[in-house]
Amino acid sequence: MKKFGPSLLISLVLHAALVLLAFITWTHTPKPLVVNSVPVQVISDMPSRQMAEAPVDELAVKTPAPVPQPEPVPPKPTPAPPQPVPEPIKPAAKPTPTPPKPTPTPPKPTPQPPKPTPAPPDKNGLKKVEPAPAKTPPQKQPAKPAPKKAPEDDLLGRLAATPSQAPTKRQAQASTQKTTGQSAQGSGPADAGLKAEVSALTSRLNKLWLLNCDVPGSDEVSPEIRFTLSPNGRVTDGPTWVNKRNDPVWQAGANLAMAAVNKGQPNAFLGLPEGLYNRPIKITFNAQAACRGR
Amino acid sequence: MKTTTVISRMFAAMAGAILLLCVPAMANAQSELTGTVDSGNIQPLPIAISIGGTDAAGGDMGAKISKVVMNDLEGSGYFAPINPAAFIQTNLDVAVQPDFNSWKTINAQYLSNGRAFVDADGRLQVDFRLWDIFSQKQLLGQSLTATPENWRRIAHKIADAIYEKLTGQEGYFDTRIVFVAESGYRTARVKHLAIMDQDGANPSYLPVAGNNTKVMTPRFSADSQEVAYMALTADSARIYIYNLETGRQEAVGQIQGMAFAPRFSPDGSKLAFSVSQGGATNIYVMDLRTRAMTKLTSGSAINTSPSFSADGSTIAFTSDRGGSPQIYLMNASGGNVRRITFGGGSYSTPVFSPKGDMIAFTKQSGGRFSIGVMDPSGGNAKLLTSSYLEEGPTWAPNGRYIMFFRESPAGVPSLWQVEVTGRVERAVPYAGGASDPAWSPRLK
Repeated sequence: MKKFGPSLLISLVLHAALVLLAFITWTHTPKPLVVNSVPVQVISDMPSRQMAEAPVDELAVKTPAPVPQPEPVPPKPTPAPPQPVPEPIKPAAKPTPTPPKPTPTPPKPTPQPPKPTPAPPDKNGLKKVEPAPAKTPPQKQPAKPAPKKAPEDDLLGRLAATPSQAPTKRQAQASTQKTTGQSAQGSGPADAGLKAEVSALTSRLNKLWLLNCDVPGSDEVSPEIRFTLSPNGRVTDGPTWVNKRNDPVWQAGANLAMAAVNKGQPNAFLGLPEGLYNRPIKITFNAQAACRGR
Repeated sequence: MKTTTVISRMFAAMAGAILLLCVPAMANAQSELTGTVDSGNIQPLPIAISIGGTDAAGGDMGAKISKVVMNDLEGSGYFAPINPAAFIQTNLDVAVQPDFNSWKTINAQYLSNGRAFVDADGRLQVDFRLWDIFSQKQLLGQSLTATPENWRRIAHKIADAIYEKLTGQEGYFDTRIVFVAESGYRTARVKHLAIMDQDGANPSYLPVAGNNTKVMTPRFSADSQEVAYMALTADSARIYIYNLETGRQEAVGQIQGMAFAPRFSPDGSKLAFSVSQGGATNIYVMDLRTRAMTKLTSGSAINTSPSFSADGSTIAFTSDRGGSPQIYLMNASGGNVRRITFGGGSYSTPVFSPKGDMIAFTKQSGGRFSIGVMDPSGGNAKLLTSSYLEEGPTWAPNGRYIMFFRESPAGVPSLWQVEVTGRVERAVPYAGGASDPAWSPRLK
């Protein structure tokens, strides 16, 4: 009988080891993954009083270009509201060949300029940067068709994509959008002539109003927003949500509607028909109509 | 009559006349004009996200968080985040009101700025605010903390807060997906149980019982702490429940036949599933406390894919008892079976939305598959997507998005997400094959 040589023995051992290894295998057993809940805490709203004073909103605090005063009046040290002196002219008023003479009593009630009192801190304690006061300083020269635009205004005007920035008084035009039958209505018989004028405003707001009809329920909201415009395109009162509801979708919709109003100032609201200025306006932002057909 | 009386009456009459003349003018001056805006720009809301700050190692943690928040919001389809390269104002201080004009210039309607830092305890804290640029008002102000490795969860929670504030809808970003991670050739697929964030981040395998086990149809419990799944081996098909907190898993009873397609009841107390035995497939429900099983359907048809309604009173399921797979409803205790789909093709995998107002389904017709939604009564069916092969819809916890898997002719499945209007669809990133997704409830 032939004896096994050492090489054969070694070969056998190695093969046996290989077979054993094949059985053992390197089974990969991943470590159990423990997915713990993560304590992410919403602590609170940050106390806003810790906030520093806001940077100056140059646009908002920008004062109108200085114009010669009709009479030298000693400057008042306090920012008290201006006396209700009659304005010799109104912006965007009908141009007249000669400047109107200031008279002690105005021939008709003139729009009351807003009080340039500093805005009170908001509920967060932040200094609120208000839009520029809708102040129309007395002017000596004849009325200009429209106030001269500042460069910032031009920029904002482009952003707001207002339909018209023409310096001349804009003719009222009807909206080409579908309406719900209550569009652009005056509040009474005396306002029947203002229907088209309100349309001039709503057609501009159409372009400023962003909304997302896909958010469920957002196509059913119709927030009513009240505001007052000054002839220089500023929102002097509001915008305020009138038909408030305790519904987050309505609240979000109302925020978008108020954003449209805020976004429009000043340029989108310049050159509107006179009757729209300095009186309360209530606009319904009808998402149902806007989202129709989606 | 005395002269004084006459004079006083004359004055009174004159005053009355003046008042009458003035009233219309006064009314005109003060009356409110009304109008309606009935069209607008229907588009995603432009928003800027600017969160700064660093982590303990000096890394740009704020930018990482901003990126996740932007990705979340953009993926919802409701927002259009602005590229940070366009920002005019940079290095915002969260304690200082932003320069609104800078943000108006780049056409941002909203801004969320914030700061990330590591506090004295080594925890990551992120303070953030949400601003309405045009009203110049703060809409939100929150401070969130977590361990630094959970920075993505902070980002998702910020995105949730913004989404909720600006849409009025519940957020869904701080959620997870369990799914089947697939690899290997089509004929010999390896199927792992896997979990990741809803945006595809942090994927990892969950170890399952047994070797060479193929995992199918994982489903979250209502508290997102447990996952039920089917484990298919060469000789058995069983349902397991995996506890994500402890890593513990257990088989659901000793069931004769092949058990599959599990689904938790909304309160987590029951588990419905299908059992295939003797050529028939029927639906059972198990009380997870007592382990008592109740057979809900009977007969020789294939009854599968049970899904509880939001209130737990109804189960939707697929059955071919009518000749082709269609969707039926029955009481959660069985009985009162009624068919709700009647269109051409076959309907399957019904899933009630979290609010119970819709049912998502898979439709096969004309050689193509679609994911759709319909009313719980079967009305208003609407197909959202269509492709060579897609199925397995699962709802986001807010009921506005559906995730499903789509397979190409080449045989590689991938996860997709679609908004219930069908307008927003996007792939969920995962670097491998992925199928059978299940969306978790919002994390705690």
